[in-house]
Amino acid sequence: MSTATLVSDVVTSFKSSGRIVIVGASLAGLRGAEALRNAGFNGKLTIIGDEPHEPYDRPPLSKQVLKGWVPANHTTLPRAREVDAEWRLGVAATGLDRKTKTVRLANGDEVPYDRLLIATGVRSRPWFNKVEAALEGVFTIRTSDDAGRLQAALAAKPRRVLIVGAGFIGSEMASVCRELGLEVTVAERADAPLVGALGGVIGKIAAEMQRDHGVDLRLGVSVEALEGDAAGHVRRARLSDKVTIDVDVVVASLGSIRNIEWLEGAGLAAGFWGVACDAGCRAFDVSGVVTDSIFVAGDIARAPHVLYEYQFLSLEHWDNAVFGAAVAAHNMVSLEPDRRPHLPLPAFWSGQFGVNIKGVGVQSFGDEVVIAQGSVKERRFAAVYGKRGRIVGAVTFNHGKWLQYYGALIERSASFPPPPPGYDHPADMKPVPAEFPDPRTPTALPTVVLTGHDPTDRAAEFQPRRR
Amino acid sequence: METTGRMKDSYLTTMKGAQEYNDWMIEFARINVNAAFDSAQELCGSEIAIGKGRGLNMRIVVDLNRCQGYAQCVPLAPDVLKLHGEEALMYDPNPDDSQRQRVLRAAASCPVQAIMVDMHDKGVHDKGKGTAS
Repeated sequence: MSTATLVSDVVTSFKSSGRIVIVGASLAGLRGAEALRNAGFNGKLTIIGDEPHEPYDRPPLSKQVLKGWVPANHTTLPRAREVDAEWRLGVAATGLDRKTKTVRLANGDEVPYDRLLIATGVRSRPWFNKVEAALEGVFTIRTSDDAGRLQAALAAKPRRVLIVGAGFIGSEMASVCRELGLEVTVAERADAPLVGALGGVIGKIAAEMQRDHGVDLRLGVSVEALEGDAAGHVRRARLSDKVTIDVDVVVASLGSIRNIEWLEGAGLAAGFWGVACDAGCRAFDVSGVVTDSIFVAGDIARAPHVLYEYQFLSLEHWDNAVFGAAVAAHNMVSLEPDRRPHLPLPAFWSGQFGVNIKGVGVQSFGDEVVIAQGSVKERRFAAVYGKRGRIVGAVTFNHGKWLQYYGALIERSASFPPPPPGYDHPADMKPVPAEFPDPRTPTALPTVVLTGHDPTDRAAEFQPRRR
Repeated sequence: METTGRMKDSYLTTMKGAQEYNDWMIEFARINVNAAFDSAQELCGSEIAIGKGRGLNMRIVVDLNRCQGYAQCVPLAPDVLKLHGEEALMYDPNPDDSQRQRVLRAAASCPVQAIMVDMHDKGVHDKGKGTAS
């Protein structure tokens, strides 16, 4: 029997009787499971999730759900096909043993795998002071349970809502509060909303949008303390500019934390920005050696990207979970010649203050920005980001139909600034500095980050040549 | 130059992946359209009942990266799909069963096929035991 036949037999037998474990039962976990079955995997499939709910969609939580239109438990994701999996929901994975190839669960169970897909995503960054975080009326938002509680608090007509952090989710929540007729203060440490993701030039436009809609936007301030009443309900917030405001609801919207704790001791390249993997979704170990049986997808994955100097790109975008999981699943059941890369052109959307904000590429990789089309005053425009004469990102405000065009320019590293459009010229087409904050400035973390060339923030052990 | 070459290669490979995804979406489109025809038949009193009487809400998700805001879907299922401002689509991900026919028509009408409807609404039924922990 030839080696080739042997190998092909192994693949056939793995597809029919192998064991695959997916840790993480959200968008990436579900789409990964579906893709595995689509790829002909008929073995045992186990999906582990710490939340008790079946996979649901998160983007509606800060919009439709908070507004009170859609109940918090009504964002369950549709299924593309049957997955015939064993679902272990409501029990978190707490450990990974790569030697015995088992995942440890919070209830003590051990689940063996032949191949593992890590899709544990992120959680919301909690309020920094534990006592204050425990006050009634203090929230974060990530899960449907969070959204349900916050929606109930908003429906109870609080006198004022304080949102700490003006990233996309903070801004969307401020928009919902105004639609509900609630007084809302947004406190942001940086000098504009959305500044980490889109820079100061576009951030200023976002600030005007907030103020036009009656948001009490306070920039360049941090919230130093929250104070409660005798019943333990939050009532006041003290800001760094010595101002105290009366509030009934506080939402900490401070970005996210990657769920990597359960991987401690497993020797994988897991760190602050997630689990490093190659462009084919295979995890790296701490020394930068690629693993054969462990794959990563979704918010927790970071992989080198060809368009961005091969820096590891960390992406909390919806379609990164969908596409990444599909590629990981395909590669889990394929041999080398058939493996595919996951090299997403990052894309996001956000609805706020009646404006549809969409983006492609990595805006923060650019250092210059130009309004390429439309009118800033009318809040319908396209802005393009450039670095060293190349287009690296674009964002549109109520101009989404043009995004594909700019996406294509980014894909082929077209020259910056882009050629002027045939019509709908903006008043000023001169590129200006994009004004991204110093990365050391503490502000809400953007959802797309280039995280350098190191596979891990833990040092690999250098092994000198043996003599 | 070498980098550009490599980028081109990688991108060609990626495009292949994107093409496969598109094929997948086109398959959804086909099923969506079929489902819409099926539901039309159902309205005409034929036997085909998709997920009828399950007592569950429908499940949909809209790929809002793909959505271009044409809003063809909105008048077809106005209680489920709405415009927020001029361009942003807002929708009910788990609408009531009574919206089924409207939602299937709305999904079939989308020029970029951004609306994904649960397989149960395409006549595929899960043989697995569902989501018991």
